[in-house]
Amino acid sequence: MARPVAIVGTGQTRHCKARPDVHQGELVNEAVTAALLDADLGFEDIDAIVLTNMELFEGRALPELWCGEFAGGLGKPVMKVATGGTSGTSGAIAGLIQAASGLFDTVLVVGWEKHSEGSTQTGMSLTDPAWDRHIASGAIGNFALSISQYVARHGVTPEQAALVAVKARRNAALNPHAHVKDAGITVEKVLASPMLAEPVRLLDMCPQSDGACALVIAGGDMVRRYRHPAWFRASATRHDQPYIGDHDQRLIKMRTLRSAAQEVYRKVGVQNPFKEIDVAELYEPVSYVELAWYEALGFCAQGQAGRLIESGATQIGGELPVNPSGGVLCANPVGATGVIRVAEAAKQLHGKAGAYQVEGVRQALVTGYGVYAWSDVLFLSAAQP
Amino acid sequence: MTVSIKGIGWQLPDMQPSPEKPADRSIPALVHQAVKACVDDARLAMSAIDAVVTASVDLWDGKTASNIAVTEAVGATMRAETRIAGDGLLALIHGAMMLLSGHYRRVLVVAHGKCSEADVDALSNWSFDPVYQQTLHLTDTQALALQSQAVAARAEARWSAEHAADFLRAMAAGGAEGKLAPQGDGACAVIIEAGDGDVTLTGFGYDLDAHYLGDRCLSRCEGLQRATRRACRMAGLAKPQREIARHYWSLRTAWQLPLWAEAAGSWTFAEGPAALQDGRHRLQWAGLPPFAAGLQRLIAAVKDLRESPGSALSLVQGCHGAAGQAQAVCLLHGRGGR
Repeated sequence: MARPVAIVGTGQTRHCKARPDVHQGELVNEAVTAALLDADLGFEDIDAIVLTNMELFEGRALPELWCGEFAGGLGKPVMKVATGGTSGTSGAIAGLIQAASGLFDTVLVVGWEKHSEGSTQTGMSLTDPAWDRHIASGAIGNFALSISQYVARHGVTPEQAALVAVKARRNAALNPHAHVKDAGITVEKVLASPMLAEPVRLLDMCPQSDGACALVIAGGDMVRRYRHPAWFRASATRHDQPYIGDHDQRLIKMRTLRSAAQEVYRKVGVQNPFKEIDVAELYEPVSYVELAWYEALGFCAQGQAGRLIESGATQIGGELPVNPSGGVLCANPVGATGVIRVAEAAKQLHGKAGAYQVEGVRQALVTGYGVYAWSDVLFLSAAQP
Repeated sequence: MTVSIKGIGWQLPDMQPSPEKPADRSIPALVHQAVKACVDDARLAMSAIDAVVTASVDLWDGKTASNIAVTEAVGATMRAETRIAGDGLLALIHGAMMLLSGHYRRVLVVAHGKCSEADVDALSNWSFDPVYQQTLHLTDTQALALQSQAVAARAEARWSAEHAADFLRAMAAGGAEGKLAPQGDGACAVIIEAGDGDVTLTGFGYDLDAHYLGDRCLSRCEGLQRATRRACRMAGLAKPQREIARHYWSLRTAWQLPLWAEAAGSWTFAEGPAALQDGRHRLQWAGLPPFAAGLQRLIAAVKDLRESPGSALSLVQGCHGAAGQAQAVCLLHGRGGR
């Protein structure tokens, strides 16, 4: 890396089913204003902006051309990154790389989605017209196929998956920004929720949310102003083949996440991720996949994820807390979801996570997930590289 | 650190390396042909590429997450790829920043557009804010018409009627008949790498102008002005208008030529229209795909620089959005005589 860069401010809106009180630009502006306030900066201090969002999921075309001004982008270098579900983490990586290039001292990354004004299912169905579109089933059916295979191979039980959903919604009850929160949720309640597509039940799935999230990234002299910057240590991205039929044992192998994590661990010198990482913000659209991610990320051996969640090690106060913010299961404005993961990891390093602050965080892992099996992995730390 | 252009490839109407028509190709086939031509030009294997940056915009090619369609064609399976939703020149600029950051050594940049599979008028209407402008049923075409009228009014105020007619006649002779340039299907690919080469990227800049047409003076282009200023500052150009030999413009209307040339500081209305026809201003009139146009202009510039006998500096411009709301500029230096 040409020079070290860090996340020095984060801001989020309240994420919820619908925000009819604001238009998309105002939603963006809420998150940006909060991030600038957190970083103690003004719009004039920002050198460049990266926007992330998915067309049609919010009912617009090229929405950044309209919403860019609400991020303070008028007259500034602005570009948009969009890579499906990984848009937010891809945008964060783009912003970090742009700051690391030395061309900008401050880069603002803003992700947003207003699902209540669009049609995500329609958007997700506009895939290859020859082979994919007629079986395009959106996220639920798509995941159900791979999860069935994962469950059959590794013997993961619905109760173990429900523990992920319970952990998430209870954590979310501590997070003022979260959309779906339930301090009293139980495994029984998850298992009693309606079946969507075997074995995925309603409470196993993430919501669709309206919301926005912003990061302030700083490099050079600017970053020295901050006492607890969340330093960017490494990132890796892996995309994969575009047809679901091309993915042999997708969740069992999860080769993109496994390979990206190995690259990041190698870059930062992590040998035992479960012991060395203090907190993880993972992109888990379904309860079951968090278990698959544990295995791909090396938090446990293959087939041991069910036992890991049962042990309580990934709860707040456990050995490696996963998604203390509540994760994607509790807020999912798609274009912002990956940015939220990065922001939540940075908040843990800033010591600003409030009621869900994990004690003594020095190293944080973030993942992004999108399309059929695309993966981003980022590593942040309290120590300057 | 410097960034150089290692390879170029394309699959476009009127400048195809192979005889197939882009409209007859699927998106992956179109992109694959451009990428193959590019890696062949660079004399590299795909394994030599560290990362890929694509440029395309969802729905404008009839697809969602439009880089899904090209993942395999750009060689991004189990590789780092990101997509810039905008003009291909922006993707190249992001690729250059990836190199400058030290994270990557060689990046493939690919842009595609296939508006034959999209309802471009409807999409451009949806790209206007839903409160004021979309409800007026504004489209890109109408924004371009307003912009043309504004620039034409300035020209008529500064030039004689004959001069204005001469300008339009000259543009018509080059294929620009005073109408909207038709857009086509196509793909462009460029490989950039860290280090010196025949053609180096010496500066770049980009900018987002006001979204509301009423907030912009459509007879001027402040976005391009700022983008050019940033590029020239990065390249350390003291007198850009003297140092830049050729300009490669992305045009949809004839009147964008004086507008862009003035904003980039390479021409003034006082010079009159004849100065726009002196060979320094290069344009590809018809058939450029949306979001691949800027990269096509860059490829045209690289080809000319490679064939130039001596060293030269070229400016390349790309844009997208209503009446060129988002602007990008790259400065290329060729040492000549490949």
